[in-house]
Amino acid sequence: MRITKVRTHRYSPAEIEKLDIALELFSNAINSVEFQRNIEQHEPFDTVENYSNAEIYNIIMSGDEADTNGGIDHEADLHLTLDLRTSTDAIGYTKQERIFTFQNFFEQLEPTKLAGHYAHEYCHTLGFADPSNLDELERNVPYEVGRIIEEIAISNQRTFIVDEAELTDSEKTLKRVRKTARRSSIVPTAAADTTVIKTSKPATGKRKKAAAKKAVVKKKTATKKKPATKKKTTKHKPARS
Amino acid sequence: MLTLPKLTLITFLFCSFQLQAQEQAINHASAVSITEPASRYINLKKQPPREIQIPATFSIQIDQDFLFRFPLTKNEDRNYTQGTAFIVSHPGLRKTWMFLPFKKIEDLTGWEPYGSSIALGGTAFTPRIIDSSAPIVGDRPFAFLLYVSTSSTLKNQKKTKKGKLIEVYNSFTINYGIFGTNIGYRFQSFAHKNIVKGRPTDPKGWNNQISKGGAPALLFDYNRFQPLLSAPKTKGTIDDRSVFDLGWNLGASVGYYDRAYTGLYARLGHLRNRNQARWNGGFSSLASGSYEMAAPEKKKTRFKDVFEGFLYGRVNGTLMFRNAMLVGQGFKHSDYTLKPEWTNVGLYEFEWGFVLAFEYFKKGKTGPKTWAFQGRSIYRSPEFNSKLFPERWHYFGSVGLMFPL
Repeated sequence: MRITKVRTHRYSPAEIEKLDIALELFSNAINSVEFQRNIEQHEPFDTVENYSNAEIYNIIMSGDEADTNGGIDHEADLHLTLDLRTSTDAIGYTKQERIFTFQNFFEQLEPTKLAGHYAHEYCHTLGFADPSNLDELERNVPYEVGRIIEEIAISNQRTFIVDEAELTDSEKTLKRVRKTARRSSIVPTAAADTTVIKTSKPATGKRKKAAAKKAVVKKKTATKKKPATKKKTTKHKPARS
Repeated sequence: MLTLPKLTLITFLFCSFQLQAQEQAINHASAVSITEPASRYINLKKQPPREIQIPATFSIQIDQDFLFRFPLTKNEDRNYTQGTAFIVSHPGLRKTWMFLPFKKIEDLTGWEPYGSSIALGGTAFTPRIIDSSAPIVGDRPFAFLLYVSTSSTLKNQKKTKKGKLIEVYNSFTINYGIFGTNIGYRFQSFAHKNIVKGRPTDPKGWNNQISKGGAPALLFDYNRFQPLLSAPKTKGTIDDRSVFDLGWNLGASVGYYDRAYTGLYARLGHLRNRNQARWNGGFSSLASGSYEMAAPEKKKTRFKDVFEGFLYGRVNGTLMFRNAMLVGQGFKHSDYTLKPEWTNVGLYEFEWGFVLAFEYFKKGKTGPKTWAFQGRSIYRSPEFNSKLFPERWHYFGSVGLMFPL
């Protein structure tokens, strides 16, 4: 799934740098084999339509947000707004297609945690709701997707280490490419404080799908021998809308 | 003659066509979007998830001089005699073609959508004597407006250099109406026969109403509301409660009312701060249109603390440059109108009332549902002075009932 349609509002340039990292972590995590495996091997989710885990994965990757007219485009339409009020517990919330993040939390949290927050809120834009009982988070789609994305992002964040001495040559190259791409893709729009970010290169749906399929096949064979990733049981207090 | 209503109509139509053309061009250019049913692409036989509960509401509002009770002696069947509106508030409205102008504003400014509503309403104005075939010269003319009102409220936040948070709610309203139908006569005749007995059942004066036979009417309105303070002082968080708050608004409209206005709005009671703009929303009378704001944000503690109840007061000042319901529409002949020099430019209103509201969540769903009841009394300064009658204030009451959809 691509994350190329990102619109931001009220984020300062410095905040966009952080946001950009969070979104890239989100993008990498959601397109990973680990994410697919974690969703498919998860205990059945509690949904109104009683979706199977494979169906939930497909819905997440479809990019069919409830409040945009794009239909299934395998593209996450993210309309991100910074809420300048102070929040004591919720990191953010979703209102129709807009994802709001409280500024105090945006400043405090690591990009990995923010990646999980955006994944959680993105599930709301797809139509999944929070549980009515906050003690039942383990089978709730937005909470679990947020947790899984955060965990994968934590394991992937190595290339975001500032000290390049700790990186391998390929990681250094990857970091340079990403930095260049990030700088060249921030396009200001007509509104003074509204910005459009393109976090990954545009690709046609077919090409991307084929590439993703190839990668899945390769990685599946490679990871077959590995034991399944241990599921963390520690509960964090993730974003909720 | 290019009158103001004509000019506004032409401008609006021109802008609408431009918007539609742009929209079509955008749709045509984007080849990425695939709008096939979900089941075809991902082999999903079930419907896409729609677990988010939409905070939509339906409201009925009735303005009636008969409803005015404080003091009862001021209850008179004249001036603004009746207004009724049926209002649907739904976040999805902003994506419909009727809300294209508001969507364009939203896209241009980046302000966040706070509420959208559509209303069908009618308002009637009469002089004191309603059964005379001849116009009552010096008193106001008969006028009936039937309209569809579309409205969208957009919220903006910013911080001052000192770090103080400022929230502004910008409401845009367009009313598409018609003057001069026979509804006013029919309704008043029916009401005096069946509901409020003792008044003339054959109000012949409607034959002299403004733009008799029918003429289009438009109104474009902008209203800016800003919360000023709340007590006890809150932290600016999403779930703040207080017992008193104060806000002010500033607005203007062109069309059948050419005016600028401002007001102060205070609440006292068991308040939810984030709803301050929501309950302030709306005009003092339905003649300006009507709007509601669906409950915008969810609260921290679910299934608890659902009640909001308060008394409120509002004072409005208006500079009314032209009121088509008094002086007629420039492009359509009316048998009787007031002379423009008889109308008062400076007007003011006092309003007080109460709101009782309940917000709740359905099990397994997010997004609050709202029940609400509102009652109010409005005191309006004289709108005209023909010197043939003594100047008089106008008093009317209003009730509103809101249901969740």
